[in-house]
Amino acid sequence: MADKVICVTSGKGGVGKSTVTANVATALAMKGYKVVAIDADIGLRNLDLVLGLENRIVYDIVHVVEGVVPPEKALVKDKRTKNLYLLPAAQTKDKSAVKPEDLVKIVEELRDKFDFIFIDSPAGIEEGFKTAVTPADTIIVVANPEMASIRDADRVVGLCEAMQKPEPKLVINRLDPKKVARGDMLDVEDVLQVLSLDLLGVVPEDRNMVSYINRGEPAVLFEDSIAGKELRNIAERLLGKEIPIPKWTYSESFLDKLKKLFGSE
Amino acid sequence: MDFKLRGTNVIAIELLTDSSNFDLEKIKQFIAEKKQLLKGSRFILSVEDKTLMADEVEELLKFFQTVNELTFCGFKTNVKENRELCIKLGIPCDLSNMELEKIKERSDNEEIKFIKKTLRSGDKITSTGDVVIMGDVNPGAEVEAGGNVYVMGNLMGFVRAGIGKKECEVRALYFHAPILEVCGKQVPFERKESYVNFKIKVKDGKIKVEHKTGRS
Repeated sequence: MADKVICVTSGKGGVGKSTVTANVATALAMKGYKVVAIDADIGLRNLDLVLGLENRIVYDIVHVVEGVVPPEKALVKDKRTKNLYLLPAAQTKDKSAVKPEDLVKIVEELRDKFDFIFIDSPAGIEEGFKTAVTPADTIIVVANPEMASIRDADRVVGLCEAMQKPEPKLVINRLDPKKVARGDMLDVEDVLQVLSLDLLGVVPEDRNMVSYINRGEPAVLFEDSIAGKELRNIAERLLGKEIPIPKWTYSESFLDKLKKLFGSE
Repeated sequence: MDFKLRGTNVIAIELLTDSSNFDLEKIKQFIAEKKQLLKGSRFILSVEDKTLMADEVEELLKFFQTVNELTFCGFKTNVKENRELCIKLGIPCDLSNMELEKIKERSDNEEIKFIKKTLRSGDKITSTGDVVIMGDVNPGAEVEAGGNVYVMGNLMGFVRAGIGKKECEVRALYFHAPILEVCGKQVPFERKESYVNFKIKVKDGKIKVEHKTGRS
């Protein structure tokens, strides 16, 4: 069995940590594994929204830390996907409400009861990040193919190294083959040149993603979602299966060429 | 006839001669007299403002071979012809005061750091002397060195080399950094600029950049 406790982090905000966490956790649960996703972004809770569980939260992680309820009682069971649970963050507290040792304790309590424990890290490199990373066996760094995100991810990798964690795995999110072909976006090679990490997956830009998130339905639930397919592959790779990473290329259609010719693009 | 002797900070003793006092026999005699003083030392003969003849150099060489007490390390001169002659004969010869100054600038306690990893964003390396990085310097990483900086990989971060010095160089196998600082001078680069086999050098107050074809 692969490593159990997986922390998803990025440094920069808005690159898709919660989306990757929710989708990969859902994909593994769909395969029959018992999975819990812990939202460690205390004060800025949103993993519940991505999973569509916002209306079922009674207790959160801060209640568990304060000893109000045991971890099992604060877990929210997913209504669609059997075996998937969420330990939500508190919206009313801040990052200092949960210390690294508190999260380690919670993870240790849940370790025997679950096949996978996902921790959705907050953005930044402060206390909250350190809390999220401390209990992890494996770290997934999510980066967008843009310089700001890469530099932040690189910093996070350096910090993980300093915390003597194993080398993180990389997920490149929101790659737009069309923009790469036009030279407006960095390609996978450019990202790897800087980060030089093991690539776990490349998730292409999916225009339906916003609506999936707004509806609280992870993309992996939809067979026709291109991002969902690659997120399912990431889950498979976490299980140790060797699935080649597709080459995201784009060839201009006749219409694009025509548009270019008339300068409308 | 007395010659002046002085110690250099490349751990050697230097005998100073110039056009006014250069005399083969007198030099030989002087060294023979000072054998005990020079015992075990590295020895340099400095010849200023005087053009040496090939036979003079050969004679001196032969003489130095007979003096077992010292190790002859070569000549030092400010005359170009002397240096060319020495090179032809395969003898080490330092030209000019510039080289001397360069040596003077470097103190004995300067360190040389070897970094055997990639510097990631947020990492910072400082050294009083040279730094050799066997890896990349990623964007957001910083290197500060009193001496030269050599990057055996991609240089994409910030390097400040030759702090407090007049001469220094920075080399990288691949270069794509926004700015560099060499000997207190800032050298900015455009976003699109990237080079292979990059070298930037400061000498005599001038900045010289060399590289092979840029990578697109």
